[in-house]
Amino acid sequence: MVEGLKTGKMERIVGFHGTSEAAASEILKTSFRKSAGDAEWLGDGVYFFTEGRSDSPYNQAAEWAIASAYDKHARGLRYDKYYVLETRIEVDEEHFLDLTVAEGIELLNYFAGRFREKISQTGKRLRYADGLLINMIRKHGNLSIDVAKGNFYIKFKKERIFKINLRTANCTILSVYDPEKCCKFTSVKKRGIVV
Amino acid sequence: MKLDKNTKAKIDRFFDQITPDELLKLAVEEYGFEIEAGLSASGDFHRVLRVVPVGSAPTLISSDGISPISFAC
Repeated sequence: MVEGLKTGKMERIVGFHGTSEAAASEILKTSFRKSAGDAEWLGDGVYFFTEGRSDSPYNQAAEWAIASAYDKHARGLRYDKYYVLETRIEVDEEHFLDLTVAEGIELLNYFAGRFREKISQTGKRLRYADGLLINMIRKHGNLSIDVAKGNFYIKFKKERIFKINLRTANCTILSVYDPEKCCKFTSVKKRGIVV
Repeated sequence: MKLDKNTKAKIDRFFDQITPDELLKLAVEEYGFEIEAGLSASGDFHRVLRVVPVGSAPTLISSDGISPISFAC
């Protein structure tokens, strides 16, 4: 059986994506565009907040859109209107890496362990990052992952202003690597003004 | 997705087919891994650094009292 066609139990997840009004309009007209993700998070994909560490992921998506509006180099706002999009995501559990549960963490740790063993033979030491390892698992590790989920500490506007930097995860996020396949339906959940 | 026999075999196949140098090149050039800075010449970073009193000139002094690095301030 071709791996890509293998069907198991489907995971159905609701995700919230906060972005500018212009980007949201483009997404609603066409589709989500994959971008290079933060190396510390879940690698290159489309990011969503989802239920888990927070009961109000749509508020977190709004807070993210507000925090992302500020351009610290230009010391001004990149945009003043934001949208929160609600997306229904479906993924076969065979292609879903859930790093909020032990079995997902076990898989990532096994890959990281094999990686470290091999790299140590070169005499070099690398700085590890979850996102970079996940990118490698997906593209070279022979595993087909369409969606990954993890708990992370994310800094919003208040945390950035007051430099609050905790280690306790405050968000559950998803990275969708194949949005065309997994993002089934998207609608506007909330509109707002960046203040 | 979990670490079952099948998944483990796929991961092992990748690592068994790639040499350490090829993996390092792939990790750094394609995925953006950073190589950590090396240790001091003595091999013991902590042996080289110690706290100096406030107001004294910044310098690196080894535990045997000999400064391996000196620079003008």
